[in-house]
Amino acid sequence: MKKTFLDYKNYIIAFFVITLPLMFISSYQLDYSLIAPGLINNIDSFIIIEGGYDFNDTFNTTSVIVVDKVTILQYLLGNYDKNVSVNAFPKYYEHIDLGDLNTMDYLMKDNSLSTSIVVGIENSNYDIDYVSYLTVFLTYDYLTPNSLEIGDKIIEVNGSEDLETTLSNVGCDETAIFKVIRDDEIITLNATKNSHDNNTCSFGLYLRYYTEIINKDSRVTLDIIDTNTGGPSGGLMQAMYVYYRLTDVNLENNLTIAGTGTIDIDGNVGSIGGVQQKIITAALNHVDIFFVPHLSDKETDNYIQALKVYNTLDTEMVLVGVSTFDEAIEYLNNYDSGDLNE
Amino acid sequence: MNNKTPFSLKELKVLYSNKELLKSVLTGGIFFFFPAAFLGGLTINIAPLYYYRFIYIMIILYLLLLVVNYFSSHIMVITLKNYHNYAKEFNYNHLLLIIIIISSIIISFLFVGGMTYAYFQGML
Repeated sequence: MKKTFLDYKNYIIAFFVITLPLMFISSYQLDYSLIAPGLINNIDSFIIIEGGYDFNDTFNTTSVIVVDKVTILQYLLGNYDKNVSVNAFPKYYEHIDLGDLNTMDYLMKDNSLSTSIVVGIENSNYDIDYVSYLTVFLTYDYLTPNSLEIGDKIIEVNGSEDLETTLSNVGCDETAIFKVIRDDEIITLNATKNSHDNNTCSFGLYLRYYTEIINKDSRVTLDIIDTNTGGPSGGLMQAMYVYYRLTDVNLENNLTIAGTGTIDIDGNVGSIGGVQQKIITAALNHVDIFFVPHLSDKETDNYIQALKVYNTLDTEMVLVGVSTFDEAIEYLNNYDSGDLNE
Repeated sequence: MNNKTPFSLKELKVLYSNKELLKSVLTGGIFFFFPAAFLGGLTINIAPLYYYRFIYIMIILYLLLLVVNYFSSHIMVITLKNYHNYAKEFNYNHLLLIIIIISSIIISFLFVGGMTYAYFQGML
């Protein structure tokens, strides 16, 4: 054994001289995150609707890869690759637990699924009962200790059900009384609106509405299969898929339809992050039609950003900017092959 | 004329003590483990950036592991020879071939299993 190691001493030294620096740069993490192209997911693999109308077009959500703390090697490769975007941590990252971001992503995914099912079913003229709660999606380290937690559903603030107005009326350094649902129990908690150095104040909470389905039309049987993806950006496409499975519309163009954008309970489309990488992902997967939120003509608008990337790609994909569910449905219902970007 | 004994596990155990066999396997294992761990670490770093090329990255990793496996198997046999060289009586090439085939089958099995899992997880 010893002789073998001595015989191959030079190989061993060369191996470690080459690999140790590489091991260092591939394990030391920086305060940067990256977004890289991911994959498209056929919605019929995770929203299963029994019965319903069949069609040969496919509806897909688009996922990107997000790495929260990149290694030096990833930083270098990411900066070199035009398909990848590397960004310094936002300032608010100093005040959160990075693990909570994953929890928030899965909460957002669950919410987007239930909201899109509500939108899809309501628009196809079936009945569905649901309730929306203002819910804690993320907490910051300056939140009053032992008070609210991620997943808490707020039902009253200071005795009022007008949550948003009451929350904004709480003054700096004042304490509010929250009545919340946690693990199916109603509990009361106190939290203080903390002052910050920049003359602002906040509780240390990130709140969004979370939709829960209570009851749906007995003619609609659907099942959700858990996936590895998180985030709310599949909302629009999921709502469209549910709608077309429950509505008799001819979709026999053999198209791969994909898109991105959140959806709210009223069918409004919301913007998302990582749109550049989503366009690249769609082009790599030979998508025919791609829906993107188009909410303004500003430089920061998803459609405007997407169009910039789109113009650098060699693809025949059609890019469609939409601001509501109805616009997306109207586009597909009137689709004629050969349509240009809208 | 070739008078070498064909490889057999029984013959190997007659020629070498258990301790010598174990040390040879360990030496080969060390020469496999470090490069394999290094390649695995690099893959974990690179795969998220080129996720759409995931299958190609895994195939390259698989091929590189086969090369490392060939090298470490070679080291294992050399270590045995360093203890006692029975080159005139014992067919070391045959032994090397058997080791490479068995370990390559194990690596291939793990690769196919991993890829099947990845496929059903929607990663491919």
